[in-house]
Amino acid sequence: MSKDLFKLGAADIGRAIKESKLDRREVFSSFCERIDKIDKQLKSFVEVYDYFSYQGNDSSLQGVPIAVKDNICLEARRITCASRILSSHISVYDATVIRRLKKEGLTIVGTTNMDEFAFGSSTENSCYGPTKNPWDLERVPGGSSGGSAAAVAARLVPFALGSDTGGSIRQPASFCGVVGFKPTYGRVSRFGLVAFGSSLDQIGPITTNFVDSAHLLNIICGFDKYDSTTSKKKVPDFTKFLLPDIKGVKVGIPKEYYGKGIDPQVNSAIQETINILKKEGAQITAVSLPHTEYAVATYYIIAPCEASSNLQRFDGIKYGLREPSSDLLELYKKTRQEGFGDEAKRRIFIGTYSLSSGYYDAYYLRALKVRTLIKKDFDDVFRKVDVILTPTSPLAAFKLGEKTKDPLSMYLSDAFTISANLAGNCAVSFPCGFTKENLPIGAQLIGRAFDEGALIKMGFCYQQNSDYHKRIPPIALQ
Amino acid sequence: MNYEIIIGLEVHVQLSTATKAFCGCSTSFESSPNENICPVCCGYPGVLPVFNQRALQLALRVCLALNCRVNQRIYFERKNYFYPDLPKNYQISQYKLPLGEDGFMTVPPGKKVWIQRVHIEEDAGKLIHKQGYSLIDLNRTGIPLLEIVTLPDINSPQEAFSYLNFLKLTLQYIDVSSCDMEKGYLRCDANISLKEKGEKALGTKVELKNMNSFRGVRDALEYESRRQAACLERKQPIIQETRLWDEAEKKSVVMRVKEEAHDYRYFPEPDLADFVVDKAMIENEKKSIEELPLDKYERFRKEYGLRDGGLSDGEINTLISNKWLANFFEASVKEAKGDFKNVANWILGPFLEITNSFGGDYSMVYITPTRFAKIVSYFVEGKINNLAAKRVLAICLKDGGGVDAVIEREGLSQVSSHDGLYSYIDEAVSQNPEAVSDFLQGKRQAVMFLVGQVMKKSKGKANPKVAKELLEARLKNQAK
Amino acid sequence: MVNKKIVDYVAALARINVSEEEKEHLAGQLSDILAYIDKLKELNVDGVETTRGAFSEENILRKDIVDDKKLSGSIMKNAPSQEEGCFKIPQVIE
Repeated sequence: MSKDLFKLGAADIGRAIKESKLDRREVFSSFCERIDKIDKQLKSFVEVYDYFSYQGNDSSLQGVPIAVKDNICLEARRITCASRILSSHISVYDATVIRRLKKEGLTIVGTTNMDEFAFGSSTENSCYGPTKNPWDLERVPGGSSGGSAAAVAARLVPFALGSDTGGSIRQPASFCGVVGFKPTYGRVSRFGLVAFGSSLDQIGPITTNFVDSAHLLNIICGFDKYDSTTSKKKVPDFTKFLLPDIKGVKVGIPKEYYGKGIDPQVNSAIQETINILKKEGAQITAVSLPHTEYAVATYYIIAPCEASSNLQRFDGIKYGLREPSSDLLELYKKTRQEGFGDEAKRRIFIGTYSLSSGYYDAYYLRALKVRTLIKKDFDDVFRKVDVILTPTSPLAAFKLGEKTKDPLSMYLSDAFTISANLAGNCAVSFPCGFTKENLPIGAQLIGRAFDEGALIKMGFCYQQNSDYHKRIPPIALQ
Repeated sequence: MNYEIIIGLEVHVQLSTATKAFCGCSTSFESSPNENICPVCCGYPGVLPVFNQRALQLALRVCLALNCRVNQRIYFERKNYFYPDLPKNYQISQYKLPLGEDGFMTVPPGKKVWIQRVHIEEDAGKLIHKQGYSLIDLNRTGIPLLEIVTLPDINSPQEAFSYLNFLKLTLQYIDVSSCDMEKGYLRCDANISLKEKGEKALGTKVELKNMNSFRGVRDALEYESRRQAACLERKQPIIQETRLWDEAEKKSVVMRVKEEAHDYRYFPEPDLADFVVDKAMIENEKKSIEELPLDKYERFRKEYGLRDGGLSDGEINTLISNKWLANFFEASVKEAKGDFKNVANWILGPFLEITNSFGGDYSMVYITPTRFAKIVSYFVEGKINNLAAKRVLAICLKDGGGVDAVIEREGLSQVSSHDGLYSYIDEAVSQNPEAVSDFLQGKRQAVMFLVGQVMKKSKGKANPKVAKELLEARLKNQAK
Repeated sequence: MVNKKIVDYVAALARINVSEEEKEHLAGQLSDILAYIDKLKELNVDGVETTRGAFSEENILRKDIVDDKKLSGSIMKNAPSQEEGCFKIPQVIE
């Protein structure tokens, strides 16, 4: 077996397995060896499973190893959301996405680290300790799907699933130099994804390239009778969009995403991206999303409100951690005090406060109205352009501990990714350059609702004309 | 002092679906603890609710039966509070936009009770209290409930009692709930305040909980109205509070005040998309409401009541007190060619006597209206006598079988033919000379003794009317 | 401005114990975050509809058919404490 197997994309490995050029068990072992060797430094995995092969049909990804964020349920496996409160919990059912992966015969390697309950942008809020950025072990991999992004970037696994509530797939993908796809709200079933912000959450693929994104989206997208918020819209074959043809496609450049606070290196990488797309025939247009500056504030009401309610079920009664007490009220309070980390508590407090009587109108109700305005901004712009191009994050990966003392500055680092969740659109981050410290820079494409195809087409075209996505962090080459 | 009583009622009724409101778990009552649970109703991490179509249909049917304005677009909200019988620590309920609003129900003989709102929510689980600890059974968790709230519009405990009975009847008629209070399928809380007659401002409201029967609701309201009146007489202020009814002691006690005020933090349930109630759905449910008890009551009065020899209001009320019974009555009347009077007599008498003996469970009735009508008409025609008819009815009702076959088998057919009767009459006359001489001396009622003897000898099969005529003729002949 | 009293109220609603020094800290952080969120008050939202979610369907309903996955056993296995097939908890005072 080729020792460079890890450099292959998921679809390539799948094809080789299908053509019997590779053995699925050996593929699994070879990635596990890499995890054993490299992940001691990265700490991207929470748990690595023994080999188990699912009878797949004639799928293009059969036998391909995949990692799953630790907030997606697998039957008879631990599901912890990197929280002490769930540390011993065994799921009794498969998430819909897991059922689909198993049906297609993928090999689930294990679960990846994350910010507790997906609250965070750095994977530092984990009860297992932080995951490191494979490009610089002193830096964060982004979050909350930092484990999945770091594992894919270090080629410990060909691809992984993450979840994105306000950028939790895209921002770590950007920090780690991989492709992170947030599908349209309603495209992928949330059944079995431990809820953070129910009206914002989506599961999506983290891959090294757009070909793999397309293949994985083909498997996980589509209506699910167990999720009332999934769409019945027909899911196209996303691999049909893997055509390097973007002539005449209109790309909007929203001026609000190019203001102050952006690292000039990020700015020039995006400019370079624009030039490549232009050269390939895309039409570049300046557009405006006037309510962008309100997105973070809106999000930090809506998401914590939903989260505070979603997390009420963790009470020490039915499963998970219980701090014993002879008094029920004390049992609740101690269990939740011990079980939740600081950031989880902060979000629970913000949400509980914003929904409490006397504040509901000023915060929650107002946020729902601003959400309408933000959504309308996108609807207006998408009448003029096909996709929107922005930086994924104003800065490249920051240092571990740099923002943990200042939650607000951490929240503000999500400014560019949050709007797509509020509006429900699909969006993707892909590597578009490197800083002089050799840290990846990510560009974000936002598309119309249910128009993932347009993003795949543009991303694929870009990757035909650039090789940033082929760069592998030195740690992965050890 | 004269006081006006103002009562509002809040009824929770379990919709008779096969599965829970938001998951596929069975709603069966006969299950061992925590048998009917799944990740969804246990509030497991990652689960999502999916709404039960039948629950929506049944709820809609109730709104229509209660003359509510149906909100076209509805959504659910979360009511957040920690309680161990509520696994998610929020209840999926409706708040700002209930399914039905502004309805009413007319309770015979004519009280209109205004319905403020009808909304759908999920039930909580059951706590079992042990020495020093509690146990939780989540079988009931997530079963669809309908909350039916009246305006404070009811003016006496008796009115409240009538409303509850008629509401239950209405819900049973439209097949949305069995309303079995013993199983907790129907629960009722009340609020009551008093004010001086003519006073505009409402008095202080007291909530009453823990009533386990409609009678309990009436008793609790009566107790509370007396208690409040006594307070007002003594110029003591009424305290706004919740009181629990103690059925055994027949009094209410103040519920211990909770440490903190309720702050339910309602917000729209983000896991469920909106539901739009369209015309077709409404038409469908309208169709499934055949005839409401009030309409049946009025029609029965018109068809069987308001005429000479017609049925009394009390009799009509009994006949409509159960939809099956009312239907059985009408079907039997049709079979008996419109003889409603005799059919009603036989239903209200012997029939109910038998069914009541097995708890009024009509699913155990094997007799068809055709056969029932046949028994009634055989009796009326004198083919069988009263005793025999009751016997045939009991057999056909409990075990089934054709009327004629049962009469034949049991040898119950009445002897009316003169030839058949003469031998019994001969015997009776020859063996009872005293009665004969009594009759001949003018004691006309002595003939009844002889009729009784004929009945005895014929083992009840003799037609007493014919026997009496023949006896009188024979005795008069002897006198000559 | 979030003060200790509000932190206490919210902590009680959310059923989380908070130590005295944590309260100060939390009050400060929540005040900062909410001060930022007050930015929303700049906007005039009169007459603007609310967006409850990015729903693409309506009337997603389930047939009333029992779907017994027989998971009761594994669910009870996860219970921190149980007795007689029930979840066991400290006494609930009603």
